[in-house]
Amino acid sequence: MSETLLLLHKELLQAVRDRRTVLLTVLFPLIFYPLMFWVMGAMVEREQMRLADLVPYVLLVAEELDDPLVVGVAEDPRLVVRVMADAEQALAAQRRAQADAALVIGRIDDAGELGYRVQIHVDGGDPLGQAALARLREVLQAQLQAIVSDRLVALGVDMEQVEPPFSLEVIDTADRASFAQLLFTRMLPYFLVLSILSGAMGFGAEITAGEKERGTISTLLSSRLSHRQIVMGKFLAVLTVALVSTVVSGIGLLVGILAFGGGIGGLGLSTAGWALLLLLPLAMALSAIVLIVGSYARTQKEASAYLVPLLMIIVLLGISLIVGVTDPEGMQFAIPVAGSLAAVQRALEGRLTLGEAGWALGSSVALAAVLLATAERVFRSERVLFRM
Amino acid sequence: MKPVVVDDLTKTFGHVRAVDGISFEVRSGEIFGLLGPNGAGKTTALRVLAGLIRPTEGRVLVFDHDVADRPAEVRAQLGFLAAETGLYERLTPMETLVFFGRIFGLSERQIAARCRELLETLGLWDLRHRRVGVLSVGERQKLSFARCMVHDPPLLILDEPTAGLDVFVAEAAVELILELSRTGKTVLLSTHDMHLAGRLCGRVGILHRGHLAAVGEPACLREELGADDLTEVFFRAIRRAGLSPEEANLVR
Repeated sequence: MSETLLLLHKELLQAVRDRRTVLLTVLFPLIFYPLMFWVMGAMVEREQMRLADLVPYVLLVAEELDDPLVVGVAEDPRLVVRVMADAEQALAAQRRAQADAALVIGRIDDAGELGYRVQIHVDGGDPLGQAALARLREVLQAQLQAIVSDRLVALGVDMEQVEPPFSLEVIDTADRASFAQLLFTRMLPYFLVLSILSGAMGFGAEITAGEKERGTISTLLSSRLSHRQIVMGKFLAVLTVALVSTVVSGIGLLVGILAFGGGIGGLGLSTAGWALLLLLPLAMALSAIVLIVGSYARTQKEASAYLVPLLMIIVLLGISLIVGVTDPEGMQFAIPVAGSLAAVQRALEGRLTLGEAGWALGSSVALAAVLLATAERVFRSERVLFRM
Repeated sequence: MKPVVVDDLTKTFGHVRAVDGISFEVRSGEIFGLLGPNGAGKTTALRVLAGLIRPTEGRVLVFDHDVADRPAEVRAQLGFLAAETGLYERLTPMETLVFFGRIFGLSERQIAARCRELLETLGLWDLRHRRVGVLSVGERQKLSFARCMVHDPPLLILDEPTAGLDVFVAEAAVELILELSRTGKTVLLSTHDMHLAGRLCGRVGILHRGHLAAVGEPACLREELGADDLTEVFFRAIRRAGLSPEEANLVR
């Protein structure tokens, strides 16, 4: 064990003297993540202000242009309205995004003077369309209320004695804090896993494939270190750098979320402990993969090329997690990487069950053990080690 | 107890027989050279001797320890210098020697004494806290020698110790090897430089395409094969052994 620790010490000494490793593992997450969240926060705030001040451009199609509702909508200062006669033309223009919304006001047959059929056409996937919809609802509500009031006054009702028949108010609760919460629970696990790999990749490739490339592997193999000691020393070194990268990235992300304006009130010691516990075996498994690939590759460049697909898989899993496609149950938490990602997310949301944690932890630990044994096997192979 | 006994050693990589049934011995205190062109099997043979890779067939004993069965004991008895300098660029010379001294189980006191002795002898003492990456090629080569001698092994295995070095550094390396021999170390080296082998080696083995064509003292081989120098010895030996006749006919 002491020889393994000697090798670990040597590898870490080299790591802290490597500008690229220090930059990627420590400085980048501490600077980039807060900056990224600050920029995102500023952009979200600017967008919210822009949408709040939006005066939607609406194409209005109506059968009776002198109808009080049509006149009221057309003259409302909260909208820019263009009245069109051809409904088909108006809807086509709205679909081509030439207007924020199209409003079709018609009459319900045999429904009397208050029988309106109102259609609002908007692109719901577009924030501008959503803002236009909210504004149109406000305007229609106000106009309809005014018409109803006029009718009631005409029927001799004293409106000062009558409460409005109904009141509708749309309140958008989306703010920076809620958005930050979304980042915290959905993006944090993804970034943490990504930081494990980004920390392990470059450094791991250097101390495996790089050793072969520089010819230092023969020096190491001719010492009294056994293959197992070399593999364990290198594995612990990669794992250490990966965990440092994860913890530093976690700090950077939390600072970023705070800078964004969100709260991390849900993050207690217990939650952070669970997240780290779930990430540890995953970091072990990913470090072992890096070690296997690095041992097999002839050069650092070749190792990096082999590791890119792994990075892509994690990126895809992360994206599916962020958009909410992945929502595993029970045994599905045993799926490597995806299960751990989902378990960390549940832990941050405060709804991780012991069973789910057990599946995620158990599968990651088993995977890490198998991969570490494979790494040793690969490292013992002369054909791999002296592959030219 | 002979430093090295190689008995019918064969090493294959897939279908390629890198070393094919070679046998020779290295005597205590001598400088033995394995001569041959690139691809002759020299590096493979030395890697087996140093315990880096296992023999496919045959037996190799280093101070009576079988390299296949007792690689740790074998490695403790030898210092191996690979064709590359094999140094870590972000460590200093002192850290390099301390690391390998600890790996070989020396006490901190022994390490301190050995580091001072080696670095002073090789003229690296003033550079001991500089990063290896900023050292010159010659300084690195000296440090490589120091690295493989830190545990004071009785046997040194040097793979192409002067390859790629300029004339000054190569000459310094030659002097160092001769000095090691004078202090009683046994040296087994590989080279494709016949002139260097003639200057350094008490005995040589001619290796070509994995086969050992001849073994002996350079003077005896010259006489035996009627050759003027080691280059001619090399060509006549491989022709006599029936190895690669078209190449052997380059010299008549």
